[in-house]
Amino acid sequence: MAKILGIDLGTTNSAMAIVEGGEPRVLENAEGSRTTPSIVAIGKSGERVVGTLAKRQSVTNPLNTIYQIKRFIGHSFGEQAVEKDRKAVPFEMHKADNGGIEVKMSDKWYRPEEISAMILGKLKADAEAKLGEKIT
Amino acid sequence: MVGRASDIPRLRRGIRFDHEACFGHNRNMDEQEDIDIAPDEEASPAFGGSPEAKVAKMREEIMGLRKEKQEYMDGWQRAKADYVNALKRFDQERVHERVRGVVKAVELLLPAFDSLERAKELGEVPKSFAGIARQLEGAFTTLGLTPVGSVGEVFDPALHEALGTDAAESEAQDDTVSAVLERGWRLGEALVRPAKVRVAHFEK
Repeated sequence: MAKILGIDLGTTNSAMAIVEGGEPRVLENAEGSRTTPSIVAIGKSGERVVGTLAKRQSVTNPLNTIYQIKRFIGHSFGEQAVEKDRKAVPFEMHKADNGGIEVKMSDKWYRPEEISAMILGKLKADAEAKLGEKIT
Repeated sequence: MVGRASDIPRLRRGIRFDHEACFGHNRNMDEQEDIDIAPDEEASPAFGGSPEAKVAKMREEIMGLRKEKQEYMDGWQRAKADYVNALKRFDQERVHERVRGVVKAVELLLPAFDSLERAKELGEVPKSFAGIARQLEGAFTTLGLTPVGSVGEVFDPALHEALGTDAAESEAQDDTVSAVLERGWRLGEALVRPAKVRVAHFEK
């Protein structure tokens, strides 16, 4: 039976933990810290970075660095709260075909759920590397 | 004390009840044993000793036992694998913790070292103090620390933390380090502290 990974997907930071011997244990990410910034970016060379690395390059690449994405999950474009939050972030946003929100990262549009999936994906990959087994 | 004598039957009943509760607890095991014995005593008169019925019943029983055996086997193998993995992880963690200990100690010393370095750049350090800075640097080198971050290298978020951008004069300079505000350090593969840098940005 594979281990179960618990992930706290936060607006600013995310964390993950497993249960070991009946006790929860927070896992460190590949960079060695117990929390991972909930930030996704596509660098100038086109590679996707998530977490601490995305945070470190955010100043050089504000248009393609997506953060605070959890605020936009499940909202429709044009909602009052969305309009307010939209003004506080540098990345571009538009109305999706289904009335939802899409954010722009390096010429491509992504739904907030997709950005969140990238964060979850990184945490999962880090946990797998740390535990030496697949998490399914 | 006298009154207790009348309690004995009740006490016995209590014990018997406990006994049942106890069996109830191991019901799985008990039922298995009951089935084991029952066919021999009861099945013979009831089924007229039909060997087919007996065989079928035993076959069913064997299947059940096999399934149970497999469950235990799986559980044991899983526990064994968990144990081996845990041993491996303990080993890794020991190495990791040692590195982390060094990192933590160095992190605390770095600000002082940085100040010395900065003072040296400004030429405010008497020779004797410059010697101390060299000693400290020597100690860092012995620990396996290497500095990261120099002007002109390509910006890499794995090593650098961007604190600002500068306009670049040519496209070749785009996305390279234009100024190092604070040197970073790494210990082997582990980054102790990223270099705080400004990054050149070329407007097309």
